[in-house]
Amino acid sequence: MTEQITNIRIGIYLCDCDGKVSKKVDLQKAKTVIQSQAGFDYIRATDVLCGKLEQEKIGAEIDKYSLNRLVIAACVDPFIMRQFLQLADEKGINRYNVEFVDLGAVDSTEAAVAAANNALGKMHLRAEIGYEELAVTPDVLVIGAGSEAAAAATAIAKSQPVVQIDNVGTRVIGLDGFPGAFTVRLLENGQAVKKDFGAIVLALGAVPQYDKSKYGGIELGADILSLSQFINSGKDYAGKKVSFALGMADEDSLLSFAAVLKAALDLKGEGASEVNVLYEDMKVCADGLEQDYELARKKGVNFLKYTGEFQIVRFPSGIAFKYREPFLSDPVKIVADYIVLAEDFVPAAGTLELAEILDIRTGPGGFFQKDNVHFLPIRSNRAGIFFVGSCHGPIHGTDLYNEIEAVLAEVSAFAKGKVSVPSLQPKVDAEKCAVCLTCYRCCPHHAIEIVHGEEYNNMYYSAARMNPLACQRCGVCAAECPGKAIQLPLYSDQEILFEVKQPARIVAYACENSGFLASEFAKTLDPELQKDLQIVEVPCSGKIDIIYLLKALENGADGVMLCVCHKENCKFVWGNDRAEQRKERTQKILNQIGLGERIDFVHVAANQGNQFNTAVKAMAEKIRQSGTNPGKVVK
Amino acid sequence: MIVAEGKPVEKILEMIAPYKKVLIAGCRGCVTVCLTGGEKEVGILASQIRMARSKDGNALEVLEQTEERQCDAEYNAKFLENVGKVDAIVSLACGIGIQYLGEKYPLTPIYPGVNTLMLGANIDVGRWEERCFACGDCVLDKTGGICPIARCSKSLLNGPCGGSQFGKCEVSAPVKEDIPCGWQLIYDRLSALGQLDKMSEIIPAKNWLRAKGPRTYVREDLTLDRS
Amino acid sequence: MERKKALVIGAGAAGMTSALDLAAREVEVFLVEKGADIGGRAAEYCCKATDECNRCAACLVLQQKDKVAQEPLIQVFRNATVKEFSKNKDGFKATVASDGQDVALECQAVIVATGFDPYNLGRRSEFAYGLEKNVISGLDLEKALKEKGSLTAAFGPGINKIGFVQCVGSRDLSIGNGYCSRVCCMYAAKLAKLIRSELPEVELDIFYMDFQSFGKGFADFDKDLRESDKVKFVRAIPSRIYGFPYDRLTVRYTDSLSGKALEDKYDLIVLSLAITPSASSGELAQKLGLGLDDYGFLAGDSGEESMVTSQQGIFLAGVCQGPKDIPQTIGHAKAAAGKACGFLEV
Repeated sequence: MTEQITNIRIGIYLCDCDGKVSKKVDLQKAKTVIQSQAGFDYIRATDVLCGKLEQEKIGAEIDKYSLNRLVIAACVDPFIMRQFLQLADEKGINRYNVEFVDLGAVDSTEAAVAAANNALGKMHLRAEIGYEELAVTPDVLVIGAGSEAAAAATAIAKSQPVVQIDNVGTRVIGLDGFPGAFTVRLLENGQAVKKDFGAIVLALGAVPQYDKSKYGGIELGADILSLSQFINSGKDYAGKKVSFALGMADEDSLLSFAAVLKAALDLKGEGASEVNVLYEDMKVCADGLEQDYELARKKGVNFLKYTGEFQIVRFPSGIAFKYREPFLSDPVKIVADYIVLAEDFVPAAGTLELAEILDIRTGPGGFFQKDNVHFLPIRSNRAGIFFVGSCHGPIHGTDLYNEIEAVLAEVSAFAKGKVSVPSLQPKVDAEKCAVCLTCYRCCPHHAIEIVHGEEYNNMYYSAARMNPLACQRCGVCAAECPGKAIQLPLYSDQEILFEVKQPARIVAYACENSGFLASEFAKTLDPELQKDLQIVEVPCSGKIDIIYLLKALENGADGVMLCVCHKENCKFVWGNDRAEQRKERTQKILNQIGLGERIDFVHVAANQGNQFNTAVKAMAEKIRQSGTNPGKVVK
Repeated sequence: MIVAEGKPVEKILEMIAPYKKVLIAGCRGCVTVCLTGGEKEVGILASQIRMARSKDGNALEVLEQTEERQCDAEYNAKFLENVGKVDAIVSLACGIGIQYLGEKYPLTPIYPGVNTLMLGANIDVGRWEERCFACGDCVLDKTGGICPIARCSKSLLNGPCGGSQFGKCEVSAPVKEDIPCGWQLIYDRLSALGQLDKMSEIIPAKNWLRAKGPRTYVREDLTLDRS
Repeated sequence: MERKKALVIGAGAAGMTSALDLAAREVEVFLVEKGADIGGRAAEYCCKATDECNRCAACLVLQQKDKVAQEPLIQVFRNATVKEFSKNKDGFKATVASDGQDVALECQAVIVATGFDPYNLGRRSEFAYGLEKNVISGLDLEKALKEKGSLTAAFGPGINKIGFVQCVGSRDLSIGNGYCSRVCCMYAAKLAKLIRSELPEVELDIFYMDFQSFGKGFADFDKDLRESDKVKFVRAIPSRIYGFPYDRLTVRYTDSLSGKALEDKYDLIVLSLAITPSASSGELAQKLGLGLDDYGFLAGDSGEESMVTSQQGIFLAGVCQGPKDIPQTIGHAKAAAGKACGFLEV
């Protein structure tokens, strides 16, 4: 069900930017050529387009000619773009119906005409993008029993209704729906119930776990305690000697350090006769820890540094730490009444099961959240599901509160019960949809459902549908669809293939998060290098369809590049991995017909302009060796 | 679902070598679902063979069309116009579709673009496993719902052979990956169902005539008298 | 419908995050940046990916920069400072001097996101920073690697031994900086790993006090660093660095583990300069009526809401409130934007 594009009326404006453009481009000639090729409803070339009077004039022209799409060819900079977008907005033309052509970047009249025609062509092919008003449930489900969950629930309750469950007595057994309208299936006292929530916050916490293998096999007992045993013991340690050991366990977090500093200070306050802390690296990289450390030293807590390892020894009158003091290089024995050992933190029971039920990824150590910077600090791979606290890796103190506030900022978007979003999610042509589930399975964000009804014009009366609040617009589904039933607005196959109708020697499909930005940076380093290069921007490399690569070659490019985010850095979880798989297959397709090495797959981040240029040079060398593309199809 | 795989392109190029203009016909049924013969694959193959022929200096014009199901005549009628324009058809439908489309247009040569592999299930994206042999005499009632014909390498009917080891079939080794022993699966399932006694029930020798073609299936209660 | 308006001061990682989040809720944003371009310090950082992403998050900042440029609801003022600021019954009035012109703005909420300045060594010449060309800061190295693409391209082929010096101005009670800058150990480690991937033979030493490693899977990262990347850890903070012999650097230090006073030669020294309050934060605090903490960072609520200030409608985002890494900064800025949205009732 492609949205019918009816009555497109395009206005195209050419700006000389006060004589700057006409140095390289004959603007009047360009206008005449464009005019002769039609495909618009109004055209005007002028000296300066961004003045106030001009803006008023354009506004009047939009009304007079009932324009609903604009192509602005000018020296494009963000300030000017913003001005036109605002003008368009006032006239009811949304930002998706305005296309800019950078005349500052072209150096001939032909190039200017080509760029303008490209923009006009895309404007004609672009589906209408409206805004959707959606009703959402403000209620938030907080899952977890500990203090972190309680803190999150309390904070969120200030802005909207919250239900907190411990996931033990009341357990999540299923999840349907999408952000703003999740239906959570719960097992409540053995009874299955369904409840509606707009968002879900996971705050299961982490649990301490003593691992004796990290302490030479020492068993815990009356005088050797784990840190959590000590904290919960509630005993009076007045007059006692207590020694803590840090650094052998819990290497990834600051929790033990924070807890030991607090315990040591408390012990001093309660009158313990001696408090020792053995450490290898004193970790204080969180708010307040350095201050606690300083205070503890002032209060007479002994901080003793070991290197490598220590032993715990028992002798008739007590126990002691034994280690080699690095500075004295002598063995030292620290006798104590109690020895307290740091523990590791592991995910709370039920973490993995919940991850499976909610279809969210886990990362190192089995904690929630993929180890991918795009998800930090609180996001999951599914919109509307967030993490707080140690359930996604042990965190400490103020960091927890910052996370809670960040989650609150996200979930509060649903507090009013409705939201308005641009309808940018992919659209499915039901006639072509085979309901094969490929998109459903490939979606990294669990944003797709299969819907049924008379209106879906195929033999199944069904089709896939992308949820506007869950969808992140990566386009992976569109590239995977075996029936070509899925089109991503602004990046439809038609629009992208239109761009490579007459490709440059090298076509680089570049992810807008990495390769595209790197190419812009690269241009400033060596503008010459991009002369034979055409950048085609995609929202994610996972959108790069095999047919895009083949069509660029079929239409005459000698080489094709895929410029993608580094491994484990895809904003859309696995878009870059899918792109790599498709590159492999495409290269095979070329090998089968003897076209040689013509595809490069490049991991390049936004700040790697040099690396981008190196990759372009490598590609140029590769096609120099492979020769001109013999597969070009002459029409 | 019918599962198929793409044919090696050199074979396809050989088949269509004499022609100047071909139609690649896709199918929106099983081969779309198994990612082998839908509109997307039609586009990829078309582009590939266009380039291959261009490289050989022997340009080939390729039309692309994908319709609902090539195993139904009504849908095949939709290819009429394009078939009239070409020298030959390459069909990406299953073996049924290829033949049936060919029958519809008997004067245009038709070639297979795929190998039809099996009746299988889509385990996950990119993985299919055989589940049914279409033997015409179902025994799933006796085997815990797991088919010994399709899932035992020897299609044994009464328990595993001596080649079942640690739950795997001995033919696994030369094949790409471990194949579970079908009878181990049956045993495990019956055991879980508390129906292990079915293991001692002898399944009589099968009438393989029902598995052999050419088969025709007619339902008198449904056939239409179009006179 | 009249859109609510917000002023965001500072267009770095925090300011851009807040601005984008506000715009997403239909708030019109005035984004005031004192530099010639938006992006802040992190926009100059290099990518530290080796065979995979090493989670430095610098790329996120450039992505945001691109989004800000395309967001019609965000109006950017470059080369701009807040000249005058006052409160009235409708909100706030600010005069912003931008590119030499004064612009009067009215808004209902303010987010301060002025970031940090690296510790100014000033007249402390013992590290020879600013005196020897190959004594640089971590920020300088980031910038050089980003601009040039590799260590060799940036510093020539003669670099055989590199020393990273941690805690220059951090955790230093003698100058009143009784806090850890939180990010330096991780970026030094990641830069060392990156250099190792380029130059398999170069010697890499890290001078440190306590190695501040934390984060998911860091124990493994740390192990790799010591074992397969062969990064040597020296527990010492150098007492002096000087240019000797010709074109090399000598580092004098006392190894706190052995107690021995040692000297060693290096070709490049990278100082992890502390994150300190930005030079303008005192003045800005005064203008906006905000407090400062013990170290001169802008003071947020001391309890759970560090993005909330003593002034209603004014919020803090990112490192101006205290040291944070990029993801923490983004989280904090999101929270600040959330608070502002709550305040603006949007």
